[in-house]
Amino acid sequence: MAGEAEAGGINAHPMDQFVVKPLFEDALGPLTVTNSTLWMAIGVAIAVGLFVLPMRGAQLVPTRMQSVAELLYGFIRKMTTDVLGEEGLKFFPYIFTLFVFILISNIAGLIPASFTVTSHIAVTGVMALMVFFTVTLIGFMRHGAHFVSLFWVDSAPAALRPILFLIELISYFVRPLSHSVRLAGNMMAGHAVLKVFAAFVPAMGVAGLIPIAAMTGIFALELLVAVVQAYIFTILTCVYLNDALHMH
Amino acid sequence: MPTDAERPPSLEEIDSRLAAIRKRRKAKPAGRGAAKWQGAELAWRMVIDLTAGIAVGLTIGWGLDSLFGTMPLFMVVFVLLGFAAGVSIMLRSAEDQRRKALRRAEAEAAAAGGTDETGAAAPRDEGR
Repeated sequence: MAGEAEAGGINAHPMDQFVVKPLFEDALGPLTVTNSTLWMAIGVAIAVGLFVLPMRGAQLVPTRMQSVAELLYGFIRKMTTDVLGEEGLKFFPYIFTLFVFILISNIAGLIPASFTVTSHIAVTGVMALMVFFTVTLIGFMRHGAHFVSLFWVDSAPAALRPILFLIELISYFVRPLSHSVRLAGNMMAGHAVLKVFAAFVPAMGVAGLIPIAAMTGIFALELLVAVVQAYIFTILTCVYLNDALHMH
Repeated sequence: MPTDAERPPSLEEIDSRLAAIRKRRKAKPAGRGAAKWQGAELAWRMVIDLTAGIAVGLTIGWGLDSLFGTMPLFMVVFVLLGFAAGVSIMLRSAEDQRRKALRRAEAEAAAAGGTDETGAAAPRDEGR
C-alpha cells in the first residue's frame, strides 16, 4: 500500500487480510504455495508440537504441556461418547483431528499479520463436505437403502409425505452449507471488524485510545468465538454422525 | 498446653468446610452469563439455516431447470421448498433448545435434592 499513505483520512481495507497470495511465484496456479498453505502448515506444526512431542515421554504425573494435550483429548473424547455413545469412539480420531485443526487455525489467525485459514469458505467447505460425505456413506453402509427413510416422515398424513420428503431432503443438503458458512462467517466477520476499528486509530489522534480499548474487548470476544466455533463445528459433526449411526 | 488456634480441627469441621467449598464451586459454572451468549449463538444459527435453506432450494431448482429447459418452474417450487426446509430446521433447533432447557432444569432440581456430588455437573452439548 505504498501509494495510499494519506495522513489523517480513514484508510480501511478490512478485507485485504483475506487475500490469498502466492509466496514464491507470481501467478496463482492449482498447486501454488500460498500464505494459506503456509498457515495450514504452521497449524499442523503447532498441533504436532502440542500433541506428539509432549506425549513422547508421557508420564503418569503429566508435565505442563502433556496435561494441556490430555485435557483437550479428554474433553473431546467425553463429548464424542456423550453424543455418539461408546461405539462412536471409532470416529474419535477423525473428530479430534477436525477439532484440533480448526481450533489451532482459529487461534493462530488471531496473531497479528497472520492469515486465518478458516475464514475461507473453500477451507471450511472442504471440511464440511468431508463430514457430509462421511455421514452419507456411513448411513448407507449401515442401513442400506433404509437410510432414505430418514427423510420419510411416517407421522405425517400420506398426501403430505412426498412434499415432506423433498423438504427433509433439502434440509439434509443445507447441513454442509450452514456448517461451513457458520465457521467461515464467524471468523471473517470478527477479523474484518477488528481491521475497521484499527483504521479509526490513526484518524482520531489522541482519541484513538477509544478504538484501541474497544479492539481489546473485541479481541477477547474473538478469542472466545475462535474456541466456541471450533467446538460447535465438532459437536455438529458428532450430531450428524449420530443421525447416520442411530437412525430413529 | 495447646490454645484454641493450635488445636487441630476436628473431622466434622473439615467436613463442613469441604462441603461449603464444594457448594461454592458447584454454584458457579452454571452461570447465566454463558446462557446469554448461547441465545445469540442460537439466533445466529437460525438465520444461517434459514438463508442456507433458500440458497440450496434455489440451486437445486436452477439445476433442474437448466436440465429440463423449464426455466422458472422448478426454481419457484424449490425456493419455496427450501424456505420450508429452513423453517423446519429452525423449529427443530428451537425444540432441541427447549428440551435441553427442560433437562437442565430437571438436573438442577435433582442436584438441589441430592447433595454431596463431587464435581460440577458437566456442561451439556451446546451445539445443534
